[in-house]
Amino acid sequence: MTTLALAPAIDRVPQRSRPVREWLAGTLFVVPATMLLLAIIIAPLLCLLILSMTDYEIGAMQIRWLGLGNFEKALSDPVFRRAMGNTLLYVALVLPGGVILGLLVALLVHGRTRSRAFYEVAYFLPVTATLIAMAAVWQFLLHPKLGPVNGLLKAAGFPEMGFISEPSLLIPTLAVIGLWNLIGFNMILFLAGLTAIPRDLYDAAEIDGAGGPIDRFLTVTWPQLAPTTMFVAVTTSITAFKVFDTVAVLTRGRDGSEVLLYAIYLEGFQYFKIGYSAALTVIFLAFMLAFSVFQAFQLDRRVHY
Amino acid sequence: MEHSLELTRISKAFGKAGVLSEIDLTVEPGEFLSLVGPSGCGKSTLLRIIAGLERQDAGQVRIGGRPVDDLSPRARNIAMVFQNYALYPHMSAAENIALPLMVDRLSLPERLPLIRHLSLRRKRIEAAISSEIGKVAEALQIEPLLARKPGQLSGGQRQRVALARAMVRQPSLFLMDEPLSNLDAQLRVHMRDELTELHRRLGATFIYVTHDQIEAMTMSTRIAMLDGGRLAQIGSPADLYERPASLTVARFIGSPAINILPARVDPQGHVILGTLPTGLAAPEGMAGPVSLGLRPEHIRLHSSCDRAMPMATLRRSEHHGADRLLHLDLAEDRQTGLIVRIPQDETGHFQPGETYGIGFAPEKAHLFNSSGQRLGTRPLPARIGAAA
Repeated sequence: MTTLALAPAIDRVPQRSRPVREWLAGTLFVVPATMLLLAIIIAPLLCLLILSMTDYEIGAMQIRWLGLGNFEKALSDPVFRRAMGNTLLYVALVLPGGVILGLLVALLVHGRTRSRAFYEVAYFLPVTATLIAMAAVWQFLLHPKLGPVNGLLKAAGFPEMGFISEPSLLIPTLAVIGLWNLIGFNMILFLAGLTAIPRDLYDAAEIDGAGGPIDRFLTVTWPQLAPTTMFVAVTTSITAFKVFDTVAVLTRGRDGSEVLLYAIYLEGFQYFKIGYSAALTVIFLAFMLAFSVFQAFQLDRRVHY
Repeated sequence: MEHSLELTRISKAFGKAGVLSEIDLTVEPGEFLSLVGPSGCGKSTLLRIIAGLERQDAGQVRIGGRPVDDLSPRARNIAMVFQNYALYPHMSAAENIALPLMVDRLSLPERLPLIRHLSLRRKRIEAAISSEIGKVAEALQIEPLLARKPGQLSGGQRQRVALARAMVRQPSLFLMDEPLSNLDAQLRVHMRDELTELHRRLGATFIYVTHDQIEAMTMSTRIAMLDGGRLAQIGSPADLYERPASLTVARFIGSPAINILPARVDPQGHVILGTLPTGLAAPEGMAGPVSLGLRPEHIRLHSSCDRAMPMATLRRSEHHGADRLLHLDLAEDRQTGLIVRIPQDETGHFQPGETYGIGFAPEKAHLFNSSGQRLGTRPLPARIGAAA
């Protein structure tokens, strides 16, 4: 009995200090990564949050705490509400368009053998082109009098369209340019996904009688592409939410064509209202976060890795 | 449902590389035929041609007497089990098994998402299909797994689901492309039994591709061995083991592999190993270098060797349960290794480093000419070096 009682007592000393030592070591290992995270991401975000609750302006001598005043102002600001609506419309056009057209182009290019490399480069070119420079080209292409697009429309007997002058057409026109810029990138992502589909599955579908194009797409290709599709949808919506350069160059927000990022830019860098613009940025970030999380959860349930 | 299969002069090349040349093969209804051969011999390509997944360059495929060259895999009414099972990962086991029947019995609009709910007869057909799945699942003992996705199944379970998907259509031919090679050793032996049993129960025609000669030997009624795109030999497992048509077949079939010893035929037609006659005679008019093939179990070792016998030194002895494998080096040239299989209970003292005399019964020896073709042999009345 005495030996039994003694044994734990001897062990107790190292047992108590070991968790402490492990905790210390673990903490030390975590410190560098935590510091980096704090310095690069958390601290700037905190700065933004604090700024968004003040009336700070560039060059101002004093600064006043407004609490949620900026947010209240934003929600009743007609310009901001219009920018929000426009951005949502833009995303609603670019997100499905970018995913569907990207997939379609990828499927077509994937079927090519020798010309595949050419099509890959051709569709990817707009991604590498700077959108600001290309916007000038689009401005010419869509010009009501000089542009070839309207020339074609007129030749085909349609009325002339004011793509970048008619207010109701502004956002759809910007969405088309956005799509043009984005499809090549989505195509590359989908092509990578297509290449990763095992050939056995197509063989099995063929044996099972599901070898026709529609059956094959529905039984093998589309379900196998689900993870790729989710990734493409998330990146496309983030890109779409951040639309800025085409607006800045082509419309400058005239005729009610402001988008979120352009409104933030105007407030912060044209009118120097840093506090207000920080508040808009917070709203923008919250929006993006909510949207991405929703999308990830929604799609994740239907994705089979 | 058993059907015959006839291949006539099947040839196939990918680009400039010839894969198959003039394969002639007839498979009787209800047979279990294995296609074996080293990797790259064209066996999988031949199976894909039979399935209709690949188109041959020349020749004809007939299933049940009917040419099927212009038919799609579905119209050929064959089923195939793949090495990686090729189950659709987003569908449950039941949906995987149901797919061939769904495609068969429902029209395209009845299978499309959303629109399919408009069909009135879909429910009735689906009920019939699910009862058929139940029967197949019962036969393969996978009923508890039907609701699971392939990702939640073990290798052996996936294998069964893949078999069920093949069986559910009651195909005329079962094609299997190395279906056991992704399983662990124990399960492989078990599934070998199950497949043989399944073949017996269904009575269907099986074509089974494997690179594992043990699978082919244990399961098939006949084996067709391919080598370099040509049919090297076709026959029962015993035929291929006991009368290999070529050096390649002899080396491929049997484990441990057959011993191949360099020998020559003297002007009198006697087969000479080293400097000693073997008691074998080659066919008339044959002289020059030959290869002598001896299965490990057909060699006898003699420790007291006063007779003129080829000698070999024991390198090591391996315990294999019922058997013992002895690795020896032939004394004349240290290059040639020799493997001898003896029953574990055989008396005799085998010490590494010791030298033994080698004896064999001449009728058990195989003789191949310099291009690897089998030669007929006849034993001579005077046996030298033969087991007493």
